[in-house]
Parts: sequence; structure tokens; C-alpha cells
Amino acid sequence: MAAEDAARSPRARRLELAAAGGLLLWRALAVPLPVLWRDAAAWVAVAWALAVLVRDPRRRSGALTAVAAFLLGLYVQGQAPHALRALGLLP
Amino acid sequence: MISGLLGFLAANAAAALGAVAIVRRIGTGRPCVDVVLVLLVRLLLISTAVAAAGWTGLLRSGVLGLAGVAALAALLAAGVHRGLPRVRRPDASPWVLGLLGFAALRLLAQTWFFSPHLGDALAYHLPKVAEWVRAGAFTREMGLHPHVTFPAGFELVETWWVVFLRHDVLIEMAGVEFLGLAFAATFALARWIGLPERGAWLAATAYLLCPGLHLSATSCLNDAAAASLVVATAALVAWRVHPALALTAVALGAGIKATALYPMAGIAGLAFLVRKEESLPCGSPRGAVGLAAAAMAVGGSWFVRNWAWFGYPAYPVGSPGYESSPVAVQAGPRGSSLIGNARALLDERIADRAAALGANVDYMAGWGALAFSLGLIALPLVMRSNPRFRRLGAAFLGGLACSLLLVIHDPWCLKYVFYFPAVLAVGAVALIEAAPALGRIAAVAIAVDVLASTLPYDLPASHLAGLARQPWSTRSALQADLPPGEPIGCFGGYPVPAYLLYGADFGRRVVYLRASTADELHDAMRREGITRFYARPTEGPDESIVRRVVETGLLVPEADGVYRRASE
Repeated sequence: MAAEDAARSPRARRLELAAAGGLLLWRALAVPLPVLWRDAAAWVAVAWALAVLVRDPRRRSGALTAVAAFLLGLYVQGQAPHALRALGLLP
Repeated sequence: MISGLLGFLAANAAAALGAVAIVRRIGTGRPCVDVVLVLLVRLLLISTAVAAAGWTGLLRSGVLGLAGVAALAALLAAGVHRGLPRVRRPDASPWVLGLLGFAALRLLAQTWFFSPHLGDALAYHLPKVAEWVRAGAFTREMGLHPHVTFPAGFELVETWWVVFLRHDVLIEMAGVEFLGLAFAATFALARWIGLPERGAWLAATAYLLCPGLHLSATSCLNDAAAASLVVATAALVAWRVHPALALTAVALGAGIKATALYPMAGIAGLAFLVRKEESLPCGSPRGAVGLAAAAMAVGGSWFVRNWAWFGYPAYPVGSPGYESSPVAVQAGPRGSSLIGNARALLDERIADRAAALGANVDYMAGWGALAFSLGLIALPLVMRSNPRFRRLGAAFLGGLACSLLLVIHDPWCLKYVFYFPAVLAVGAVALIEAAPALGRIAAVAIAVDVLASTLPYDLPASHLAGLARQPWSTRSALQADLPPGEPIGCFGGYPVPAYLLYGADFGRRVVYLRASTADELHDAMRREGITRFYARPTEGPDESIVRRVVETGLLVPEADGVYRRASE
């Protein structure tokens, strides 16, 4: 991924940023603001923008890990109680 | 039972060896693709055998068992078993192999302890299987639900798993077979985009454990089977196999569920995008065309049957008055469906937060934690760096849009796109290859998916314990005790879980009662010599008919849903 990034032209980067920004804007308009923080598509846009903006592979990996961990937390918070209840592990 | 078991083992071995023999002739020489072909051809052989036996009235354990023994003997005499590839330790992480072993054992346990329990399966998928097994042939009587005439390609494979033993304890294995195909096809796709073998094992395992798909596989619904054939078609198209082999998967899918055809515009786009890549060789193009012809005959037979019997190939879709049916499916594209389905997916359902998961994924997507946390962000990120994944992602996104355009917007619409998490699993692993720190997130996410794919919401631990306490030979989700062997009437339209009335060994005759008045219902019972009937109407005309017959004293309520004709 790093090699492909280095070869990417500034114009291509700007286009990608515009696409990610457009996705984020669309979600901001489509989803009520109080729940935008848990909108998966909005976080995809954030991850995309970070991947374009952060060129250092280690920092980029860290940023993506943070986004993925947040999304995983969201999923677990929403689904895990139901799954545990179905398994009889929660009342 | 013993002769049935021997026939079952011989026929299964013959179907597997036969598939190997055929793929040796038509194969590509690329192991990951040929495995997909072996599984596909085995399913085609099984489907063809059951369809041929069903249409000729030879759908009996003894006949199929003897045919299986003869076929196995011929294959062994021809030496097909020699030269089978030696089993080698796969180049996969021990964790992934351990997880796969656990998933395989859990699937066997789910098959053993689960009993058909989901509404659609009990109302219209499985009653026809029971009628076929009892009659030893395909029957025109298939139950009361308007959808009993839908394509029954998946039911052919379910019939294969029950007809030898004349028992449904292994019926869920039909879905498990298709899950195996989904696994192999995802592996092939992962290899195609350039993932190393270790990564391909992880991607395929992640897709296998996608909760919606996984729970669907043992639910006796056909959505996992349809999804697996979409992924298999994508893998065969991506690798540029002979077009007839890809068509084989498409035709089998068409015979299982129309929803398997909906994303094919996206897959056709993939074929266009990879048209300049080198195609894989085919040992026998004529053999490949023969397979496609057989698959089209099996898959298309339902449409010919419906046209001959009812006048409409997709009956009841397209017939007068169908649109007003409370269970009507959408026919043709609808912009409002695309918008409603896409918004529901992105706004809420993708997070799987409405309830515990199950095959119907009510108000959810069922794609799981890995797809949500890593697959989604991988989609644009890997598409920007991997040209092959770019094409694959575009094809799956196009297919997803087509599916959402063609299925009605309801709480269950996303079970028709269980194929999509395959590309998310492949993308997630490709992203991990580029950023290994994400591997820890993936490990936790897969653990969550394992948890979420253990029990469906409609079969929680308390219900499963009730099933497990029953002897395997009579295990059933039916709440009422019925006199063994006594024929029973069934009344009440589409909500009736008719399949449960047959018993696990298909030992009870079920008479479907069609009546529009209380007198007609009572007369029908008398005419058929039925003393009891089962009905679960909760509203509408059927409910008032049952209430009226009870009020007149002609019927006496006995147990939950069971009514007895009053002695005269």
C-alpha cells in the first residue's frame, strides 16, 4: 500500500480526499447529527481520508487501527448483549 | 436404517469421487479453482440424481442407494481413487486451523441438535421435501403456502440428505455443503487478488463465520446456498475459467432462488473488467458445456414445471392477484426499494444492533464484526491500492446495488445479499497484510463473530436445550403431542408450520385442507377420514372458519393448534 501511495499523483490524492469528504458530507446530511458519531459509512470516509493524508506507514497503521477498534467497539456494544442473551449467558 | 445408511455412505462417496473424476477432465490445473469446481460438480451431481429420481418416481432409499453402490464400484474399478491429491498441512496459521476445526465441529453439532424451526422453512421449503420422500416422487401437492412452487434447487440437496435414512436429523448438512463451497470460493478470490495462502485461509474462514451466512446454513433456508453460488460464480469469472463452468454455477443458483441472479449484472461487469487477463485452460470444453447444460436442465426444470402446471414460469409471481398476497415478493426493479434498502443498510442494519442474529437477520445485515470493523474501511483502501480488488469490489458493489433494487424493502431484505461479506472478508485480510497491527482487531472481531454465529435468535439456549433433551429419532420443534402414525389435516394458509406435522421420520400423512367455509372444512375432514387437524390461524378468514366450526361443536380444541372432530 505504501509503494502505491508514493506513486500517487497530487491530483489523484485531491480527488480521493474529495471523494472521502463527499461521503462524509453525505452522511452528515443523511444521518441526524446526534448519531453521526456511530455511522459506519462516516467512519469509512474518515479512514479513507486518513489513509490519504497520513503518509508515514506506521502512523497510518495506527490511525486505521484506532478507527477499526472504535468500529469494533460500536459493534460489540450493539450486538454482544443480544448474542450473550441468546446463549443464556445474560438474563 | 442400516441398508439406508450404507446406501447413503456409498452414494455420497460416489458423488464426491464422480466430481473428482469430472474435474480431472474439465479442470483448470489451478488447485484453488479446481476445489471450487469439485464442490460445485458434486452439488450438480446430487441435484441431478434427486431431480431425475423425483421426476421418474424412483426417489427411494433403495434405488438411490443401489445406484450409489453401482456408481462407486464403477469409479473404483476405473481407478478414480488413485492419484487423489495427498492431504498436506495447509499453509495457514495454527489459530486459523484451530478455528476452522472448531467451526466444523460446531456445524456438526448444530446439524445434530438443531431441528427445522424457522417459519418459511416449515411453511413452504420443507413440506415439499416431506411429500417427495413419502411419495418417492415429485408431487403436485406441496403445501398451503403460496410460495411452495418457487424453485426448489436447495430442496433437492436437502432431499439427498434425508431420503436414504428417511429421517431429517442430517437435513441441515445441505446448507453446510454450500457453506463449504462459499469457503472455497472466497479462498479462490483471495488468491486471485494476490493474497498469500495464509491470508486466503484467514479470509475464507472469516467469511465462513460471517454470522448471517453461518446461521442461515443450518436454518433450512436457501439464502446461504444462493450466496455461495454467487461467490463461486465470481471466483470462476475472476479466474477466467471456461464460461460454461461459470454458467454452471449461475444455472444452479437460478434453480435455488431468483435472488442468486440479481447480482449477476455486477459479476458480468467483473467478466468485462478481467477480459484482458489470461484465461485458465479447460481440459474438456465439451465436458464443460455438458455440465452447464445439465445445470440449466436442473435449474430450469422448476420454471418449465410451473409453466406446464400453472401457466406461469415463476408462478405465483406474475399470476393475477398475486400482488395483493400478504407474502408477495417484488417482481422487477423498483427505485424505492433500492433507496429504502440502501438507507436501511447504511443507517442502521449494518451494525447488527436490533437483536440476536439469525438466518432472517430481522432489521439487520448479519455481516458480523469483522466486516463492520475492518471490511468496510478496507473496501476503499484496498480498492485504491490493489487493481484486482478494485475490479472485484466494483463488481460486488454493482451486484449489491442490483440486489437492493430488486428485493422488496422489508425487515429481512438483507438476507438476500449474504454474498457481499465475502469481498469484505477478502479486503479486510488484504488490509491486514498491509497494516499487520490490524490483525489484533481482526482476532477480536472474529471471536465476536464466533459468538454471534452460535445460536440464532429463534433458537435460544433454552429452546435448544429442549430439543437436545429429546431423543434424536423423534426430535422436533412441534409443541403438540400427536398420536403416532395417525394422518392429520392441515389448515390455515401460509402461517402453518406444516412440515412439523410429518414427524422427523416422515411417518405421518398430512392432508392439506382447503376450505372457504366452516362446512367445507368439516366436510373435507370427513371425506379424507381425518379425525384431527392442525391450524394456527390468528386472523383473517381462516381464523373465523376455525372459530365457527368450534362454536358449532363439530370440532373440539385439543392442544396448541390441534383440533379433533367431535364424535358423531
